[in-house]
Amino acid sequence: MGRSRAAALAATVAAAACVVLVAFLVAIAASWGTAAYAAVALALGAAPLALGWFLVRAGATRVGTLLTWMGVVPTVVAATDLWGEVAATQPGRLWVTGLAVGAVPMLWVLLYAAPAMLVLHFPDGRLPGPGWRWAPRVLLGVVLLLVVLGAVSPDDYPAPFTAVPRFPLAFAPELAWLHGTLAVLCLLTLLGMLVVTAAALVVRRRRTTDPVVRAQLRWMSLAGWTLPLTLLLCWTSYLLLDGPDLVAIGLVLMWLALPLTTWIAILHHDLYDVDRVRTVAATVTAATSAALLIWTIATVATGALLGGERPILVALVTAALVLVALPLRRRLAHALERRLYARRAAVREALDALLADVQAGAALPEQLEAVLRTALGAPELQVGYVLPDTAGLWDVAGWPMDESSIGPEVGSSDDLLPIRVGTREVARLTGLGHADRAVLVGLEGRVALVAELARLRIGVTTALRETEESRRRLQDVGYAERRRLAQNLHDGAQQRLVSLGLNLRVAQRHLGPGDTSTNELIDAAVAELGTAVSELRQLAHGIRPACLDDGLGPALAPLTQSGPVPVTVNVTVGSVPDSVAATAYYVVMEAVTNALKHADASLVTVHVEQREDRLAVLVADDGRGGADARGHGWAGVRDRVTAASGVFDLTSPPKRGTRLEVLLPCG
Amino acid sequence: MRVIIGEDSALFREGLAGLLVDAGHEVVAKAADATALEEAVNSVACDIVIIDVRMPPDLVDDGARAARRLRMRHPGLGILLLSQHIETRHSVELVATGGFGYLLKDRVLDVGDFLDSLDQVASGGSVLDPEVVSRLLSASDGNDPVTRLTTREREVLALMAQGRTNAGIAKQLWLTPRTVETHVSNVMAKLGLGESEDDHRRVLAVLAHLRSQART
Repeated sequence: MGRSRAAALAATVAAAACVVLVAFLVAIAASWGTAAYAAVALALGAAPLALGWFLVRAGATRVGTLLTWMGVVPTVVAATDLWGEVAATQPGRLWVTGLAVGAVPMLWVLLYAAPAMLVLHFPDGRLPGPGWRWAPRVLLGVVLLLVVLGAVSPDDYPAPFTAVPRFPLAFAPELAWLHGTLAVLCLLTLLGMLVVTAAALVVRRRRTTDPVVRAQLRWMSLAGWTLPLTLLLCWTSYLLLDGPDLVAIGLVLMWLALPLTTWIAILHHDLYDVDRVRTVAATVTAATSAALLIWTIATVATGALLGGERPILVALVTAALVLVALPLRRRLAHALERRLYARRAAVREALDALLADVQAGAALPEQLEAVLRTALGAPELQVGYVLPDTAGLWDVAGWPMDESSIGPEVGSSDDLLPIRVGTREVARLTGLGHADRAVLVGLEGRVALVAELARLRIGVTTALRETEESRRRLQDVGYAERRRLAQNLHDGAQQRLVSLGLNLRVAQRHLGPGDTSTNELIDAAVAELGTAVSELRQLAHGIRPACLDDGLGPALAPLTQSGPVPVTVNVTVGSVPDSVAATAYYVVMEAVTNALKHADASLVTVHVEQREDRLAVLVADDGRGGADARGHGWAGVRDRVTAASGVFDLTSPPKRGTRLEVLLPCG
Repeated sequence: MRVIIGEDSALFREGLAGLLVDAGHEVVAKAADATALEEAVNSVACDIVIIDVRMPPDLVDDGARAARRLRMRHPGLGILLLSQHIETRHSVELVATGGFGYLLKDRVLDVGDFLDSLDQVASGGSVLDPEVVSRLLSASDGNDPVTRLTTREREVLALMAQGRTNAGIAKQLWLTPRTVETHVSNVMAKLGLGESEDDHRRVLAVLAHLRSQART
């Protein structure tokens, strides 16, 4: 068995022995007061003992052992105290010596020394550095010295031990001044050592970069400062109340808090977010201290102004002032958070700022992802939105997110956090770094507000986009259908008509020379057929002009010879989809016709060019302008452009010409 | 004349065959797709082939491509292309090689003209549908010397491009041959083209000019 384990075992044995002794003494004393005191003391000793064994078995043997030895102390103190009490109430029952009478009251020092040893060696069971070897020596030395000073005290023993023979080595009354000075020095040294042990935590934190150790130290810092503060509380209590009554609070707090924080820090430091605990503890402490301060001031003030004690008035005044100061609590909490948990404060403030900006219209809710990334310092963070009536997660641009990298929501892993409004999940944060999740706990409400806004906007965007796409599909299908229809009509019907004409012509050739009327009839019939064929051709042309086979440029080229008004045509396009080319063709034709008929222009320019994924069609003239974009004359063009999901823009200031710009998507 | 017809529509094919036979020609073979057509032309002797531009199997421009291949194999063969649409893509190039004709399908209803064109192509001339010519003429831009022609001269130019002889032009426009000759020389001079006795070469020159103008 290791040395530490052996030591822990020894501590347990010692504690057990003391417990037996205490039980024996309680039995002898047979009073409820002693029983209650014994119970409290044993409870205070049981906690460190049990937790110490937990740690030893978990592998943190050195710290665990220190904790077990800490558990022995309350039992020893209880035993000696009860011994003295029993000896006082039932004289002659127990053995008493002067040494004991002098030394035992000083054993309270152990109540500070034992926890101090623990804190000094936290968290790995070793001192902060080789230069710290003096610290435990001084601490133990002070304890020993104080106990010895107690034993050699020149004062008379208090009743009922006045009859006990004095310890032979006690100081002579003439050296009481020396004794007193030494005692004060030792006490001050003790206070100093307690401050040093608390400072050891700070020194350790400065020296280490391991995040686990830092977290553990932060946990311990919650409880470590209780050491010197409790001692001070004891002396303050003596000052104010002439008795150490107040110190009981401090001791109980210290003796419960220290083992507990040790245990949490060593074994479960990431079970709770220590920074949040610290913030909450600091806020509660500050708020309580403030309330206490108000009560104290109220007491003193009413006492000074009104004389005498007026507890009800004091209570009312305190209550009123506390109510007034209540709103400050939130400010206080935020200020403390900024100091102790800066990261969370930054995220909270960034979210509040974003919410305020969104409500003021200065920011978009979609900026949530960027804001969280900056505030958390987590560049991998992604916000996936849940859209109504659709499965899966969507990103801020309205595209589905790759789900393979996202785990299931239930039993969530460390790097994702669901955001809910009520019970509905509205978004999910993924790609969270270490400890980011802990920072966001409690802030999900703010995130949810922004996320809800964003996802509804995204829903609208997605729906619009889908509508556009289905409209485009419909339009393409419609165009293909019409084209097929025209083709069938044209080919089928035209063939038939021409064949019919041929047959008529053949028949005509067999007419006799005298059959002039029949001849004319057939001529007329064939002429009608020719017209019908020509109309069919125009019909097909109206759906898709055959000249487009040569390309948009050659198809539009004949416009330059349209008549007295010069028309310049400039076409630079690569390959465009057929439906887009057809739309562009008709747009140009109608626009030029309008210009030639109504504009009274001296020059018409046509310019068609391809820009990235759009086809730009410009028709401009220098005529009299004043064209009404919403009028009948442009309805056909507008309809075609809208059907092609394009943009129609007509500028026609009076006397300054007309300019039509049409953008057609051809991606 | 011995004629081979390549046309996928049975109705039109039979109607055309009927007309040709009635006019005294001999239809030696009829084909419904490009492959069958080429086989027929390669195996049976004929003077002229009438081809629909759009034929199976691709139904885009199989006829035109088949025409090119046939031309390479049978340099002296007359080829007349029939098309449903006015387009300049196939027409101008092919016609420029001589012994080629290009007409719209409904042009066959003008039976007299159609039969004349047939004869012209079979004897090595060129024929271009008037609609196509007018499209070509209108496709030229402002810098074209064609704009400097008078109306009459433009009409003469159009008929020249269609492949008509001076006599044919005179008859069409109700002019005397002398007037026609004068117009022709003016046109050729204004376009910067050399005089030529040969009708066919004349057509080629005009077509070449129009083509180059249409391209710019």
